[in-house]
Amino acid sequence: MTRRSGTAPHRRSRPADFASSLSVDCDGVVHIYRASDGTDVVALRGVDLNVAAGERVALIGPSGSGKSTLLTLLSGLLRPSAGRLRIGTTDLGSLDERALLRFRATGVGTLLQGAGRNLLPYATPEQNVRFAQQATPRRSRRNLPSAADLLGTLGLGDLRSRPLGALSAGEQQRVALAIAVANAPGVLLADEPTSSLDHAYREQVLDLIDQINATFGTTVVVVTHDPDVGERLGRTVSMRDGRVGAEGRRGELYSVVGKDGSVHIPDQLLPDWPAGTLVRVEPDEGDLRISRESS
Amino acid sequence: MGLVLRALWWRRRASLAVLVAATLAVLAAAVAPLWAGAAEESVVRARLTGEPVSATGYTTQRTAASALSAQPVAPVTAEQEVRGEAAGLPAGIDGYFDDPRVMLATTEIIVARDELTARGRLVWRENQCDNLAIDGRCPQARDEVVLTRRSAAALGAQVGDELRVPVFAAEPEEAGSGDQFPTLVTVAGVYRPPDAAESYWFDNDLFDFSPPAGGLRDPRPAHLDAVFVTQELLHALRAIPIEATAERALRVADVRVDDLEQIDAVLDRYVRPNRNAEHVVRQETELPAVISDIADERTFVRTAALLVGVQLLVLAWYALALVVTATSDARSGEVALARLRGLPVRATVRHSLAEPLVLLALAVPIGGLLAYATVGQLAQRFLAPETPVRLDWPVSAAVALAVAGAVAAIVLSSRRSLRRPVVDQLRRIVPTTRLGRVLTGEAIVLSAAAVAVYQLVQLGPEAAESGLGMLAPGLVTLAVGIAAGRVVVLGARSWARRTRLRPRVPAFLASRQIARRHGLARTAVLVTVAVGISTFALQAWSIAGSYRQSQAAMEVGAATVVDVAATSPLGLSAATERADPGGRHAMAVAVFANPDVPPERRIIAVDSSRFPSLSAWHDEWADTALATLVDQLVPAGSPRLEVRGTRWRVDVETSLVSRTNPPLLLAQVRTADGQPATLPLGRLGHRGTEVTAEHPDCATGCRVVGLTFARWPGDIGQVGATVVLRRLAVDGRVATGAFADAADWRPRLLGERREESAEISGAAGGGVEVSFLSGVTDTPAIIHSDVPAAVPAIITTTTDPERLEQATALSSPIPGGEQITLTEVGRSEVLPVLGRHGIMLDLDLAGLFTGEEAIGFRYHVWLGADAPPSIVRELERQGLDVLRVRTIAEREADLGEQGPALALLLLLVGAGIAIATAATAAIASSFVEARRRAYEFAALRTVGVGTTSLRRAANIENAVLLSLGTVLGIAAGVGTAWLARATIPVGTDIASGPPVAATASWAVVAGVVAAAAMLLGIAGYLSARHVVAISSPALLREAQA
Repeated sequence: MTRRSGTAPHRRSRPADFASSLSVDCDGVVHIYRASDGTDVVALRGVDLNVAAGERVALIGPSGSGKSTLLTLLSGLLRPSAGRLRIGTTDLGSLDERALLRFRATGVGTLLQGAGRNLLPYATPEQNVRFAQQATPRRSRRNLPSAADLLGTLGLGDLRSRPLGALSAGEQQRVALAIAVANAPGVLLADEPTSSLDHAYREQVLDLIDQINATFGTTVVVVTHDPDVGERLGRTVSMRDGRVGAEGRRGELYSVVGKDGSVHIPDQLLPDWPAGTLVRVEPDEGDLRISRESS
Repeated sequence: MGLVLRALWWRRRASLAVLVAATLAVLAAAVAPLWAGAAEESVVRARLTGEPVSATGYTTQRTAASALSAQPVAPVTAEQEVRGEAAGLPAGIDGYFDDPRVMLATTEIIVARDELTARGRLVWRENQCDNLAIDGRCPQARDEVVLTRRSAAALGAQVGDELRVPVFAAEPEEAGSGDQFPTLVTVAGVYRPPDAAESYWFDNDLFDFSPPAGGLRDPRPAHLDAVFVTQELLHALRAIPIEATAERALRVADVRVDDLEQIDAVLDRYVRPNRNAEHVVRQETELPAVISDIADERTFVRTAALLVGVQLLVLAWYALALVVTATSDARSGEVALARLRGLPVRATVRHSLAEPLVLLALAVPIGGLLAYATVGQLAQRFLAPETPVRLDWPVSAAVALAVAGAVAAIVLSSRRSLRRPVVDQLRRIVPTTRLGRVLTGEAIVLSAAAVAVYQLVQLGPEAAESGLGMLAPGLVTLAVGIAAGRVVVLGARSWARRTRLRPRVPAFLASRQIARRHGLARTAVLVTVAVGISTFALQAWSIAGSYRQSQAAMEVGAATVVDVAATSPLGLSAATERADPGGRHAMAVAVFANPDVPPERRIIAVDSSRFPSLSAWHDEWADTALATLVDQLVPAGSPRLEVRGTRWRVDVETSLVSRTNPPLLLAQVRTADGQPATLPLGRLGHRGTEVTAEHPDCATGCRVVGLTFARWPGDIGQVGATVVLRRLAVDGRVATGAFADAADWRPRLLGERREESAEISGAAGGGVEVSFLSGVTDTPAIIHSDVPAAVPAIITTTTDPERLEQATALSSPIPGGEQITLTEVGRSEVLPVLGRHGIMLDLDLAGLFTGEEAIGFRYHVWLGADAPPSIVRELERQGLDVLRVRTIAEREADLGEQGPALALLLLLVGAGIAIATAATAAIASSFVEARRRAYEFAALRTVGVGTTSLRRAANIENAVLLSLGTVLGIAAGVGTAWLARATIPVGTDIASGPPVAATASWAVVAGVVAAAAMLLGIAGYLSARHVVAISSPALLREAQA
C-alpha cells in the first residue's frame, strides 16, 4: 500500500491576507486520560494521519472511536500522550500553554458540536465575529477582513446584525462556521457540523464549508457520523478503537496499514473474521493476500 | 462595554440576582457602622439631655466671707471672682458651654410678718425678672422682694406689705452711710416660675416650699420658696454669709460624640476639686462622670456593631460568593469559548470579570444609599430626635471591606473558571471540590465554635469580653450550617439509593440533584446560618425587651408612681386610703434609700394588702409566689386597738410594791395622720379605780400601741406595782377587748438596763394583771401584740440574714423602747425601687417604727395600670403635694434609648438583612442556575417526564433544603441564645438590675418559622416554576450558556 495525497482544494479568489492553509500530520498519536473512577483510558492508540494543506477530510467512526478526541488534540486543547502531532510546521506537543493559546488563535478554527456552543448568545453575528477576532494580536488584526466583510464574503451579510435568537438553526450553524474562520486559520476543525439539521440546512452548511475551503484554501477536518458528509468532502478517514482503520477515497474504501503493521478488517467482513481468527498474510504480486489458516 | 451591557440584559435575572446580592453585601457592611455612629450620637444626646442641667454644667462657687472674719470678702468681689473663673474655661471647651449666669443667695434666714415667721433664702439671679411671671413688679429698689403665692400666704402677706428680716439688724450699717441697716422690705410682687424644671434654674431647689408643721408642742415654721431680691441688696450685706455661684449650662445640641474625649480631657486637667477651701473659688462639674457613663453605653453599641457587622459581612460575602460562583459556572461556557478561540489571557479575564464588576460598581452606591435610608428611618423611629446619620470613615472602611470581599469573590470564582481545563468546561464537567481544603476550613470553623461554646459555658458574662465569646452566635450557627450541608448531601445520597427501589420521578430527580450539586448544599448552609442568626437576634431582642420591662418595673415600682410630699408613712397611708377607699387603684409606699444609707439598710415599706394587685412585680424576681411572700409581711396576731375621742378613762386597780412611788400611766398612740403621741392618762394611786384624761390628739382616731408605767416627774428609783387593767373607754365608748385577753399584750421593761421583770396575766373578774418591778432607769410597759417584737422583712438574696441589723430608719414605737429587730420572712433577687440591696416591710408596721419626723423617707403613691387620671387630683385633695408623676412606660422608653437596646436593635436589623441575604442568595442561585437546569429538564421532557413531575421535583428540592435550613437554624439560634444568655447586652448595669429571664420565646420561634417559611418558600416556589416554565424541549436546539 502506498500513501496517497489528498484531494486538491478548489482555490478561488483567495484573499491575500488569509493565512496559508496548513497540513495536518499525526504520527503515532496516543492519548490517555484518567476517568472519574481513576482508571486510565486509552482514547487514541497510535493514530497516523496526514492531511495535506487545503485538503478536506471527514473523520468518521462510531461513538467512542476517538475521532472527537483527535479533533480536540488537533485544536490544541489537549496534548498527545505520545506520538507527534503537527499542524503545518508546528509540533503541538512541544508548545507551552501560552503558545498553544496563540496557536488556537490563528492556527486552527474550531467549530464545536451544536451551534449554540460556538456563539455568545446575546451578541449579533457581527459582534460574535469581532469577539473571536480579539484572539488575533491587534497589530495583525488589521490584516483580517472586517466582521462585516467576512460575513458578506460567506453570504451571511444579511444576518450580521440580527439577534441570534431570530436565526434558524442552519443560519446559526453557518454563523458559527464564519466565526470559526474569523481569524483566518490554516485549518478548520468542525465537530458534527450537520448534526440535528434537516436536509436543506445540512446542504447550506456543507456548501459553506466548500466555500470556505475554496475561497480561503483552508484545510478542513470534519468529524461526522454522516457518511454522506464524508462523501461530499472527498476523503473519509474511519476510526475504530482509537486508531485509523480505513480510508475512503473517490467512492472506494481502503484499509490502512498502521505503523505497527496492523490492518483493520472492514466492518462488513468482521462477522466472518471474528476476533481471534488466525490468518496468513502473504505478498501476492505486489498486493497482500490474507487467507484463513487452512487447518 | 456594549457587549457587556447586552450580556447583562440577556442574563437579566441572573444579573439582577448578582446585583441584589452585591447590594446586600454593601448594605450589610454599611449598616452596622452607620447605625453605630448614629446610635452613639443618640446615646450622647439622650444622656446629656436626660441628665440634670447641673450635672452636665460647670459651676464655680465662692462664699462671701463675713466682714468679721479674718479675710473678709465682699459679695461683689465673690461675684466677680466666680464670674471670672467660670468665664475662664480653656478655649478648647469654652464654646460648648453657655455664658456664665451668676446667682447670689443668702443662707437660710428668718422672714417675718407680724407674728408669722418663716424660713427662707434671699436670692438674686441674673435675668431673674425675665424668667418669672410676676403679679406686681420685679424688685427694683434695694428693699423690694417678690414671693411665690404660697410663700406670701404662709406669711399672710400681699403686694405692698412690709416684711421683717430680723437678721439684717446684725449688719453693721448701710454701706458707707453710717446709718443702721433697715430690717424692713416691701413685697413688690407675687411671682410664679413658669417652669421650675427649666434649665435656667439649674436645679437649684429654689422652689422648695413646705408648710408650717408640728403640733403645738413642737411647731415648725414654713419654709419659703426663694425670696427674690435685687443684686444691690445682696451686694450691700456684710454680716450674712452669701454664696456666689456662676453656672454654665452645657450646650447639649452642640456636643457631638467626637467632642466628648476632648471635653473630658480638658476638664480633667482644668477642674481642681481639691480647691475646696472656703476662701477660694470652688469648681464643680459632674460632666466627666456623665461622659464616663456614656462611654460605657457607647461600648455596648460599638461592640454590637462590630459583632453584628462582622457576622453580617461574612454572611453577605458567603452569599455573594455563592451567587457569583453560580454565575461564573453558568458563564463557564463563554470563558471556554474565549479560550478555545485563543483570546489572550487578559481579554479572557476582562470578559470574565467585566459583568460582575459592573454590577458591583452599581451595587456600591445602591447599597450605600439603602443603608443610609434604612439607618435614617431607624434613627427617626428609635433614636434621639435630630440624631444625624453620618458617612464617616468607619462606614467608608466597611464598604471598602465589603467591596474588597466582593471583588475577591468575583476574582476567585473567575480564576477558578479560567484555570479549569477548557475541555472540561466545554463538556460541562462539574468541577470537583478539593475536599481536603474544604474539610480544613470546616474543621477550623467547628473548632472555633467549640472554643466559643466552651468560653460561654466557663466564663459566663465575662465571655462577652473575649472575641470568640462575642462571635459565638455566628460561629455556632455556622457550625450547625456546615453540619446541615453535610447532612443534606449524605441524606440525599441515601435517599437516592432508596428511590431506585421505588422509582417515583420527583423524588428520584430531587434526591440526585441535591446529592450531586454542591451549590444546593451551600444554600442549605446559608439558610441555616441566616435563620440561626435571626432566631438568636430575635431571642436576644425578646430577652432584652423583657429585661427592660423588668428593670423599669423594678426601678419605678408600679405602672404609675406619684411622688408626693407627706409627713409620715402612716399619714401617707391614711391619705391614700381616703383617696382610694376601695384599694383598687392606689397604694402608699415609703422609701428610705438616701445615698448615704448603706445598701443593706435601705427600706421600702409597702401597703402589703394592695401590693400584689398594684405593684409591677415580676415573678422571676423571687422563687416564692408574690401573694405568699407578701402575706408574710404582716404577722398573724390580735387586731389593732383603735379608739376615737378626747376623753380617756381607764378602770384600774393598783397594788404598789413597797418603797416605790405610784407610776404615771401613759398611752402610746399613733394619731390618725400617723404621728406618734404619748398621752398621760393619770397617776396610779393605791387601790385607785380609774384614771381619766382629756386629749385632743385622738379626736379623729388613734391606734393604741402600748401603755407605759412611767415615773412621775421628779420621782426617782424603781417603779413597782401590780396593776389590774379592767376597762378602757374613750368619750364613753368602751374599747371592747382592750383588756379581754392577757395574750393581746406583751410586757416589757424599756430602758438600757433591764435587770428586773414584768409579767402579765389574766385577772380574776376580767381584765389583765400586770406585775412589774423596774430598775432605777428603765420603764415598765405593755405593748399591744399587733406591734411585733421583730418586724417581718423580705430581704434581697444578697443580704446576709445573719447581719440583719437594726434599720437606722426604724425606732421603737414607744419612746425608749426596745431595740427593733428584723426577721427574714422571704427573699427575692431584687426589690422594687431598691434593686439588689434592701429590705421590704409592711408600711403600717414601718409607720409604727418610724420616728416623729420619719427623717429620710421619700413618699410615693403607686397607681395600678387601670387607675383613673382623677386619682392624682384626689390625692391632692387629701392633702398630699404631688411633686412628680412617673410611669414604667416612660422609663422603659428611656431604657430603649440606651446603648444596650440600640445595640440589640442593630442585631435585629442584622437579622432582617441576614434573612433577606439568604432568600436573595437562594433565589439568585436558582435563577442563575435556571438555564442550566432548564436544559436538564428539557432533556427529561423529551424522554416523557411530565412538567408536573419536574415541578414537584424542584419543589421537593427546595422544600428539603429550606426546611432543613430553617429547622436547624432555629434550633441553633435558640440554643445559642440560651448559651449566650449571660453575654446578651440587656442593660448597662446587669449586676444591680433584675435577673435576666433567658427562657426561649416560642412566639419568636413561631414568628421566625412563619417568616422564613413564607419568604424562602415563595423563593423556592418561584424559582421552581421559572425553571420548569423555560424548560421547553425546543431549548435543546438553542444556544446554551
